[in-house]
Amino acid sequence: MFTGVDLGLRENTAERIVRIVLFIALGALPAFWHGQYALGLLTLMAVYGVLLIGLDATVGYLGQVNLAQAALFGLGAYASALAVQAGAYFPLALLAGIIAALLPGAALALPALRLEGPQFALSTLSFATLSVIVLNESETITHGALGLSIVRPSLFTVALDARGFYWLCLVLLFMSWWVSQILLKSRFGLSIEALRDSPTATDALGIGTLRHKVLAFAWGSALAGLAGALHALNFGYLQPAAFGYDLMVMLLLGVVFGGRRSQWGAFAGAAVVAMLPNLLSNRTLFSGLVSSGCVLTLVPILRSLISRRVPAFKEAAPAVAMAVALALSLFASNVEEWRKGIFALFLFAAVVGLPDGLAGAFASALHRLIRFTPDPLPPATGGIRSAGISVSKPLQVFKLSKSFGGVRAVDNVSLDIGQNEILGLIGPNGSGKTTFINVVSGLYAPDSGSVEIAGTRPLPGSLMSAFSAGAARTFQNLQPFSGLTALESILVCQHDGGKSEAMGWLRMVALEEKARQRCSELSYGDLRFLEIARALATRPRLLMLDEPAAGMSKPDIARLVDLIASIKCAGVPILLIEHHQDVVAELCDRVAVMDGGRLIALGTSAQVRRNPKVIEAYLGADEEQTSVQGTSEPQLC
Amino acid sequence: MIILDAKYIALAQMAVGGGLMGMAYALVAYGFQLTYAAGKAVNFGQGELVMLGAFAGISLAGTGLPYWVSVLGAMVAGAVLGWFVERVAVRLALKQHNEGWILLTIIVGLFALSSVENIWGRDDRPFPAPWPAGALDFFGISVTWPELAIAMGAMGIMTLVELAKRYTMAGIAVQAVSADPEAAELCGVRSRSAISLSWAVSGAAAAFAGTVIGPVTTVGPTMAAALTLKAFSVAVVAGLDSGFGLVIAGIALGAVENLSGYVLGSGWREAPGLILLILALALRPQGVFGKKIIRKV
Amino acid sequence: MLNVENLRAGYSGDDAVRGISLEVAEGSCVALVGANGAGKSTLAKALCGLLIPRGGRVFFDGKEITGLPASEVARRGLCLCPEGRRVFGPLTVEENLFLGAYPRLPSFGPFRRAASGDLKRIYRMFPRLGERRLQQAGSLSGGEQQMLAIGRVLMARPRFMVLDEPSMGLAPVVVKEVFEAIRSLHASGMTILLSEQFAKIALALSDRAYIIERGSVVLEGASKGLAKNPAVMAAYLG
Repeated sequence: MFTGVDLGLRENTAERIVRIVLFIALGALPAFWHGQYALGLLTLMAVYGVLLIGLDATVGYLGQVNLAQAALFGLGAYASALAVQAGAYFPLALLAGIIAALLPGAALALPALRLEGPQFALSTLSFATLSVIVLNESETITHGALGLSIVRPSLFTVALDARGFYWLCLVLLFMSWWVSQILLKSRFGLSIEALRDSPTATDALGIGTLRHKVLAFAWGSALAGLAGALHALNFGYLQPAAFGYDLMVMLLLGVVFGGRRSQWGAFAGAAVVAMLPNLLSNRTLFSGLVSSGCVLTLVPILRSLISRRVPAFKEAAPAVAMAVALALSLFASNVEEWRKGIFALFLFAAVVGLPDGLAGAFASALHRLIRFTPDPLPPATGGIRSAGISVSKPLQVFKLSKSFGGVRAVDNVSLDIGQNEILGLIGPNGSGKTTFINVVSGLYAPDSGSVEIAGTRPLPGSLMSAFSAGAARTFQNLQPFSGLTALESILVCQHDGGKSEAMGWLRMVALEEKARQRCSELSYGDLRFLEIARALATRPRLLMLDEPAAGMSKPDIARLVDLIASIKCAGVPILLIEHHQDVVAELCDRVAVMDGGRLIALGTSAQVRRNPKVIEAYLGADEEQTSVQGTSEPQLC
Repeated sequence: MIILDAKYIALAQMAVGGGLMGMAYALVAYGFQLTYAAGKAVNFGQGELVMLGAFAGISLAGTGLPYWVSVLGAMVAGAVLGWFVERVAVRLALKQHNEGWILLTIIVGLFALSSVENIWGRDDRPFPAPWPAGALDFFGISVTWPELAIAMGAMGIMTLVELAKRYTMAGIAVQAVSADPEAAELCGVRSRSAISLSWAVSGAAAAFAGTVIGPVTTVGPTMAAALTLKAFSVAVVAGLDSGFGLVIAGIALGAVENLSGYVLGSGWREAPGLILLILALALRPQGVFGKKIIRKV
Repeated sequence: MLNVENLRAGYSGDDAVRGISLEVAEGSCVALVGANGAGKSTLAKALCGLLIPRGGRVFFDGKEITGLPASEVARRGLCLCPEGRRVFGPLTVEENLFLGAYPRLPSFGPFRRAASGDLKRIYRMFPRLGERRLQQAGSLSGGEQQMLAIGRVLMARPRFMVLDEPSMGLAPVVVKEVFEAIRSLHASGMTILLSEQFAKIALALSDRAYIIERGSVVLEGASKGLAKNPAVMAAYLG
């Protein structure tokens, strides 16, 4: 099998070289490609590039359907135009644009904290509509629909001509690209991606949601403002209508078609968005392009027909969309009139058929052809270290209750965990174990009772606060950071230490070899182990494991038992919910049994196993026996 | 009878006119609730469906068919389109548990908009309706027949669908699917068909809204985007999963819109409604009348 | 009547059901017994089409039903009364019951008469449901909800009932009541597959039983014999 050519290059290095070559070529283009029209297109592409790299931060990395970017672009444009009118210098005009978009953009992150998909999309859409209304109606300032005209000021002492301005835009695009790349590959960027995949897990592991969302929106909006300022200085004439719904749809087309979560994708999208309207005017070229797109969408259909399957919807639908676009490009009397419809068809084919966009498709093709030298991994160091022994008990729960509707999921439970102890929590289905952990870890606020973690009382119902007190947990239903690699999953959770320490955590769960694999590619058992490593990397004072062995194979369970035992040896106390009784018997110093929300027994594993109430909870009462329920005090063995 | 100051009468006139128009928003918003209940998705191109319904009605009436028949025809077209949107834009994305459906419904709406621009043209057109020309007078406030038709029609359709939901097995099955799709399957209900049915009814309601809004405003490609936003606002403020409050929210939005247009100038019509919407979302994400959501792990 | 061959199924991760074969004869009551997490519910879901099996085959009445959607399986007369009851909370008791008979009722016409006989039968069996027929199902107590769930399945006139954890979350007195109802159903000739974590009560009711541990059958045989077998206890508490 062909495994690709080995260039002996690291992917990052190769990408950097290609990127620099691209920019040199773009810079040199005006020397060969004369004419104002071409130069205008290139400038537009550079401006859209900045704008789309910004949009990708929220739509791609943060995964929020942000429909406000076009409006932020407009706000930036107007602010810098007004600054120029007021006599501001060139750099100040750019700054005005950035600030005018950054502030409202960062504020958009606030609804994103609480709203889910469609509601959030609506709130950004309302903001966008509102912005256009304000621009239209503040006639004394913006001249409303009549438009605002400015003359581009000179950059310091240099009066920029069209070519000079293009080069400036190119430099700014390069810088935006570069900074975005650094930012989004840093711990900050990883946190944003983690946030997208599981906000619950990021909160429980102390990766702040608010801060990261605000920063992502701020960065994306700042770029929108910069692009807006450049746009204003480029055209010298602004109208509010240009920043409405149509532009927003075009921008989404750009990001999705180019490929989310990639600066290359944003750039490719910008090129498409800038060129497409102009391509429509050249009918032969356009129908040629559409037919080649059409042929490409036929490939997956043919592939499934060859293997004698009926093509699935996601294989057939893009081809149908492209066929309609082809028909329009050939037979419509005026193709430009159908501009929006053709965009829509392209976008449809891209969203359904190319979920990773042009950049994603290109990258996966490239990886099939070329083998890159992987980044070296540092040697693994470090080991489990508890956050230090404190005098107070790692966990003290006093008379905790939590109800949902009329059901008392946790009913007056008091429990504590000693230093260096593993406490098992068992009970039949629906007995309230997971709710108990959810309350202790701060996902739910209790109705009554108190929780004390390592001597501090976290705010009720705050995952972050419970984390700060020293609690870390895993989840019964896995909450992986699917977009990150195993190593990155650890890195975002570490609050100190570098890569080699992260490798140390991976070594502990035997995932060293898979450090570079994405979580979406890891097996279920691996993910269960990775969740434990993630929790350990935060250096908890209390570790809560919610059914770690669920769905694991027998050899994995044996490994898990060894791991938990070694965590205990290192001095981290553990609360363990588990169905596998042999695991509980082997590991736990004490076992607490819950039934119907109540604690019914507490003692060593052997003791609770002999307890008649526990046996009854599991096996059911004998037919003759009458009910013994109703006592609220646990029977101590 | 109390004679009010002419200025107050004018304001009341504005509020009533807006409120009646707001019933149309409520009707489109009702369509959002139907699809959200069935499959947790809404059509971001619903405004385009309203517009298509209106144009379909115009064209049918243009062939000489009576008004009522063209309205019915438009509703059938709307139902087919609603079903189509669910099939091509929503089903796959929801199965994959991603939010691609938001983009896809926007995209399908955009295609619809472009088609309308090319088939019917970009200009606004009047919608022929057989309503008498005059207006009714209630204590000095006049209500035109087309405005009354909006309110009656919207209430009529909503009542009809609510009755169908209660008193036919198909309706009960749709409610069952929205409460628990798996349990509904166990009863022999094909949940996919139930979801398709909700989208078809939602599309028909949108198309009907187009045929009653048309005679009051005019019909043109620009009506779509604003309508989606307004109806969606109404649905979100009322709570996407609760029927109660929809009509109140619709009337309130329509009235506020008209009043702010009158007081602040026509360009500002929509601004206060949008600000209220953003505030409502920020303060009560589940909707003013909605139930609180419990986060699950 | 029901034959399961080497069925494998699971959600994510390892199979929760690892090659289970079982057989239920017409008119019998067979119990699946095991601790929670043993794979009983996964098995029940895979039988009834809520979960597509990863391997193995399911035959009902000699016809293969592996991988059919749940609505289709239900229409053939194999009906699951799911774990956790799953009644439609916002709907009334009566609407819940009518939904049980959904496949044979007209979708858009009057439907009450077509199912009124069955409805009366259910109300005779569970008089409390009749008293609360217009109440929202979500407002019923746990035991009443369980009876409603059983009643809903009976409305379908099933030829085979799968009951998944009918005792879950119920007080012992109520468990007894529910099992009394199941016993009388069985006495009237209904074929039943009962998945139950309370071994004692399940073994007392059933003719035959399979003891499930970690997704596999560890013991099978006549229920009376199993009730005395110490290995059953071991399947729970190790």
